[in-house]
This record gives sequence, structure tokens and C-alpha cells, in this order.
Amino acid sequence: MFKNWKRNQACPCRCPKASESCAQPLSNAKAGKRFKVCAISGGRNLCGRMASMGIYPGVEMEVVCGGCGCPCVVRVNGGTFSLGSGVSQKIMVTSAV
Amino acid sequence: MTASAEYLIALAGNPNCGKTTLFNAITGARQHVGNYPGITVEKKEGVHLFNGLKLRLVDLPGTYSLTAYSMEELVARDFLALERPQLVINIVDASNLERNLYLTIQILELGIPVVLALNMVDAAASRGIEIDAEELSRRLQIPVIPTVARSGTGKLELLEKTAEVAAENRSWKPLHISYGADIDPVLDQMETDIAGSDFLLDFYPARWIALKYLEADEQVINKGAEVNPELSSRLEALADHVAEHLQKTLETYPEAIIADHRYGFISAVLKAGVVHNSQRSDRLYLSDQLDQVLTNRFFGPLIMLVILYAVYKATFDYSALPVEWLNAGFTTLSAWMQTIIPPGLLQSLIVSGIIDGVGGVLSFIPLILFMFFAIAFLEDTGYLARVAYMLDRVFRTFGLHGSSVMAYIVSGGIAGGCAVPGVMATRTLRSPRERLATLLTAPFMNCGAKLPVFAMLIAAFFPARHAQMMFLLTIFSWIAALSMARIIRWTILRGPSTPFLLELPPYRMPTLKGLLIHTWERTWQYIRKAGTIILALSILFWALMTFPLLPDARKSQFEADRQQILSQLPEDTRTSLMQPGIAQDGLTREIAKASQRIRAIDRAESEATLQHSYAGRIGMALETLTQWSGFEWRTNVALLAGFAAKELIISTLGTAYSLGGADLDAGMSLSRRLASDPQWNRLRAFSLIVFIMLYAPCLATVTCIAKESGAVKWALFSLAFNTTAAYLISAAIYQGGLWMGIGG
Repeated sequence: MFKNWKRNQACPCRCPKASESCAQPLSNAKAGKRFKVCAISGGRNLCGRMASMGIYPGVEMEVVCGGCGCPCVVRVNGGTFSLGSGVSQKIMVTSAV
Repeated sequence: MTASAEYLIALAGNPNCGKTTLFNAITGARQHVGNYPGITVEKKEGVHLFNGLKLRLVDLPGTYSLTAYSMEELVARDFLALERPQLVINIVDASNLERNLYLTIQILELGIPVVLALNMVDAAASRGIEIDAEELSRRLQIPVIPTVARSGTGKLELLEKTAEVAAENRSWKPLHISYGADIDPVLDQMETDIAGSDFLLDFYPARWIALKYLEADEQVINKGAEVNPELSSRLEALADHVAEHLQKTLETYPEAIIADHRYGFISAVLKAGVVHNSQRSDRLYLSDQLDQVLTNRFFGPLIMLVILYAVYKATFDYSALPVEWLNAGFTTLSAWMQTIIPPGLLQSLIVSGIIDGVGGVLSFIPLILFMFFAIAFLEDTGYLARVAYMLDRVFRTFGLHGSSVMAYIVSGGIAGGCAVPGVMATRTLRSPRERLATLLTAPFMNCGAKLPVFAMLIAAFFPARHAQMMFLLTIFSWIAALSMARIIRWTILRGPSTPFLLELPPYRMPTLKGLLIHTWERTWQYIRKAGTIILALSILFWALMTFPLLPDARKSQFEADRQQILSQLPEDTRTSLMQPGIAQDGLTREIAKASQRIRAIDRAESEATLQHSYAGRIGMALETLTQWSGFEWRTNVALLAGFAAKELIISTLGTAYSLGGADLDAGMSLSRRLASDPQWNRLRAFSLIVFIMLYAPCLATVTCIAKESGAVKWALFSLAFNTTAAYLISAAIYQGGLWMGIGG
């Protein structure tokens, strides 16, 4: 009970297996929709590096181009990033309401 | 404070925040571009005199954080920690404040005094973002100056504030952020441990070091282990424990918690009245609209091909005339030197050694100038990032990066480029392994200097298929470069591809000033460094082709032959005939004939001299090896000379075949000579073409490879690797051809 409370309070980087709605990796996300990052599963280094670029759990992003074979393009806050499949497979997203 | 006070000031900020534009606006042309020792990240320094103060500004590479995730971040951090500037001007993009402040927080945690330049406020305003600079300044407790770097707005206030803060000479006061219940206790404990033991404290504050241990920053941990292994391993154990604990309870990394709290801190700073956003965030701006066309799945690649071709055309077309002028200038200089210095070794050294060698390098300058201008333009507009994005998938297959395409095209991916600017174009590549693989394979492309040789050989042996052969050779060089890159990335540069992670900056119109400064600085670097090394090496090559001199006995034999012809002529024509370059018309038939015979003897002497020289001897010694590819000593000497500059292949081959090197149609007469030579055939010619395409890059390129890769070993590697590859492939072609009964 207490553990669950804590999880919901301060869980910025939940792992996909634990969460119900972390449905898909960013590489599968559809273009033109908004998504919310719920986990970055690629190891500590990637997690930290993505965070410095403003992509961290809880952030909403718009997928500009996805699933077209090229690296996908996302818009986060004011920045536009292009992420290769190696990276986008490790970012778990859920569609934002 | 004296009038001559000097302050060291660092400019830090995210990539594409307008940092370099601001740097250019402040320092103007008084800047110096170099490299950080051992690596290829550019280091820009400039001086600005302000109210009697000397501000020494250093433009740090654009970074997103101060953790060592990339070379740039390492460089920026080391500069701050080791050089300890008086203060940091942190440039932030006003339209993307949240992410930009992430770096600011980390600089503040380091404790250096910061002046915040709130840049591009105009662009932010046009997007409906208004920022209350005073309130932001009050909350962050640092000066905040709104600026527009492009127009210079706010520059003066920024400098005033900078001078004011720098003069205070404040000590470093690290910002203290809470990282929550999981991390704070450990952080405090680590901090006390570190503070009590004088551990790396000359460079970083204690809490900052502790934070880096938690973030598993390899560089700091390695440094710590050197200074105090015992304490370092204790800190590591603490950090590991936290990481494990977080993984178990929250299934998360310490990095995520740290980032979360930093962003939490930032949103606390920004909330309630600092940022006013009056427009919907999902509105499409011009930049986004442009992207819908320029990176469109179908039109994007098409437009890209057109743009790349245009860049290539513009670079080589516009530089053609200045290159010609320079060449003409050097030819005039040679001719003039020949008139004032008597014939002999000194004349030969100055004309063939120094002027030809250095002139050959200097005549590249217009080309490099235009290439850098074009690349700076593509880079500053933001288009180059899109090119990398669109091509990444293709190039990744070969272990390269999307940005590799620029280097390939400039090097001669469209036949007629030049590997020197091509190798330098790899600077836009950020990932080290991909960059090395690109700069090692770019010289396989068909540069402009190889083309005349190809044209000569094609004219001799494939006269009916000129265009098809050239096209075939272009395709062949692409295949060779890409597959060699693949091999290199599978072997010596093994390792996973750097994850593709690239910000696509909004399209912007570059400032002319910025373009000119970048272009000039990079070109000047080339002139200075390449010039000196190449001078030395071209003298060496001249010596190889000149010494040892022909023995006197053989020299006098040639002289005797000449005298014999002369003695048959009337007295008054003798002296005029001995002068080189004399007009042939107006002479009687008999005299003209004699003159031709004398020229023939001259050429035979040149051939004998070349054969007798070290280069000739090397060429003959190599015959045992190169016969497998079908080359005899004459070709070998020409290839050797081609290493100095590919342009020399034709003229050396001409000398070796006793053809007048100075003949205007040297290429064509050589072509006829080879076509009629029974030793030569199509197979041998094709084998030679392939060899020339692939073998060691020219001296200028090798020098650039050494400089760009930061290590001489890569230059030597490219010499050995390319030559070996060229030899094996051409030998395979020649032997395969013989086996199939072609040529024979």
C-alpha cells in the first residue's frame, strides 16, 4: 500500500512492464498525434542524455513524422528532434489526452 | 582595478541558441579558431575591449548539459573547471526557455557567476512568448539581459553587466537544489565525505562531484579514482547502492530523478508570471511549414538532390576562375624565376619543388573558400541537419552517418570534386567513429585531379565510350567508398553506431557576417597548417625525382650527341637553337629537323634522369610487385609523383615516355603514345584507372586527414590502407582479365 503510494507520488521513470498504459515505443507512434513519455528504457546514459534535451518521463511531445522508415521527428516544447530508431525504440509513450 | 585588467569569459549555451552569432557580434573579426588539444571540437577565442577592460571571450561548444555525454560537453565542462573563467555568459533561447535553463541550472550548481543572455526575444515574441526578464533575474538571482544577437540589440547592456560582474571578482557559490527524499541524504553524506578530504576540490564543488558520482559520470569517477582510490570507491559504492535502491523501489534511474527535480526547479522558477504564452503552442510556423515540404517523404529527397547538386556546382563553378587565376599567377612566377635564376639545381628546386608544390596547394584556396561558405550557409540555415536526418537510414547501413553525404559529394561524389575540402567537410559530423570512417573513405571519390588521367586513358583505350566510362567510374567510386567504410566500421573502427539524436533547428536566415567569419577562419587554418607541411614534403618529392643526378659520363654523352647535330649546322643558327622554347617557324626545313632531333635528345635525357633518380629506382624496384596489376616502372614513378599531387601523374608519365612535358597537348600526345604502345592494352588501362581512383590520397589530403582526425596515425593508415586496397583490387582485375583472356 505504502509502496504504491510512493510510486505514484514520485515516479518519473517508470519501467514499461510495471505500468499499464505504457503501450508502445515511440518508434511505433503515429505521426500527427500527441504523446506523453512514460519511460526511457535504454540505460542510464540515454536516460540522462534525453533529459538534457528535454525528453523525460512526463513530458508531452508531438510526433511530426513517424514510422516512415527515416528517423522519427518529434516536437518537444520549442525544440524539434530527430531520433534514430535505436533511440525511439527505447522511449515508451502513451497517447496524451 | 587597473586599466589593463583582463577577464576570461566563457560563452555557454545549447546548440542553435545563437551563441556563436552573439560571439561574432561581440568580437567581430578579432577572433581565433583553433582546436581543443587532441580532438576536433573547434575552440573559438576572441578579444573585446570594453571601457578599458580586456574581455577575453571563449565560445564553448553548444551543449545540453554538463555531464560528459559527448565530446562537446566534456570540453565545455573541462574549460569551466580547469580554466576557471571569471564568469559565464549563458545564452538561452527565449522561445525554448525550459530546456535551455536545464544547462543554466548545471552551470549555477558549479557555482561560476553567470550572466544570462535571454536571446532571440524577438522570435519568441512573434510566437507569442513574453518573458519578464526582471522577475526571472530576481528568482534566479543572476543578471538577465534580453538580447537579439542577430541585430546586436542588448549587446551593450550585456557587456556592461558582464564587466560589472567580472570586476566584482566573486568566488564560486554553488546553487543548492533539492533532489528529493531518495537522493538528498546520500548526496549530503557524500558531500561531507568529499569536503573533508580535499578531493578534486580545486576543480569542482563537493556537492557537484557527489552528483556526478550519482550520475555515473565516467570522467569524474576516473579522475577521482586517480586522486584518491579509497574515497572514490566508497563514493561509487554509495552511488551504486542508491541506484540499486531506486531500481528496486521505483524502477527508475538516478538520472531520471535528478532530471525530474531539475525540471521541477525550473518550472518553479518560471511559474506565475515569468512566461506569458499568448498563442497556442501547436500553431504551425513558417519553419514547420517549410519542413513539411523540405522533409516530405517524396519531395524531400528530390529537393535535397537538387540543393546538394547546386552547392556542388556553385562551389566548383565559382571557384574555377579564381583557381585559374592563381594557377596562371604561379605559372607566370615560374616563368619569371626561370629568367632570373640560371638553369641548374637552384632553378629546378624553386620552380619544380617550391612553386609547383606550394602553388598546387594554394590554388585550392578559392575552392575551400567557396566550399566552406556553402557548408556554413547550409549549416546556419538549419538545412544540413535535415539532410542528415533524411539520409541517415541509407548511410547507417554502411556504418556512416547522414551527414557523411556532404563530405562524399564535395570529395568527388559528383565527379570533379576535391578531397581536401571534402575531408574538412566532415567537421559537421558529431560522432567520432562515423566521422573517421567518412574522412578515410572520402578520398576514394573521383576528384578533379584524377579526371584528366582518366580522360587520357579513356581516350586512348575506350575512345567510343567516354561518357559511359566516366559514369561507370563514378558509380564504382561510390561503391568502393561505401563498402570500404563498411569494412572499416566492421574492423578497426568497430563499435555500435552512435545513436542518431539530432536537433532540427528552426530555419533561419544566416547573417552574412557570421558566414564570412566562419569561412575565412577555416580557410586561414588550412593555408597556415597545410602550407607549411606541404612545402617541406614537396621539396622532399622534388629531391626524390632529381637525385642522384645522372653521372657525368652519360650527361656528356647526351651533350656530345647534341653537339654533333649542331656541328652540321651553319654557325649563326647554333646559339639560337640551344635556347629552349624558340619559335620553330621561319627556320629552314633542315634546321627545323635538327631542332626536333635536339628536343628528342633532351627528352631522352629527362627520361634517363628520371630513371636514374631515387624515384625511378623505387619505381623499378616496385615492378616485381606491381607487375601483378600490370604496371611497369614508368607507371610506378608517375603514381609516386601522383602522391604529391594527382595532377603530376600525366606530366611524369609524359617524361617517363620521353614526351615533352611542356607540350600543351601533353595529355593527348601521351594518349596516342600509350594507345600505340604494344605493352599497353585496355585491361592494363582499366587496372591503372582503378588503382588511381583508390590509391593513397594526395599529400594535401593526407595532411588534412592528419589534422582533422587529430592523429598522424590515421593519415599513415589512409596511405597504407588505400594503397593496399587499390593494389589488391587492381591486381584482381588485371589477373582476372588475363585469366579470362582479355588483353593478354
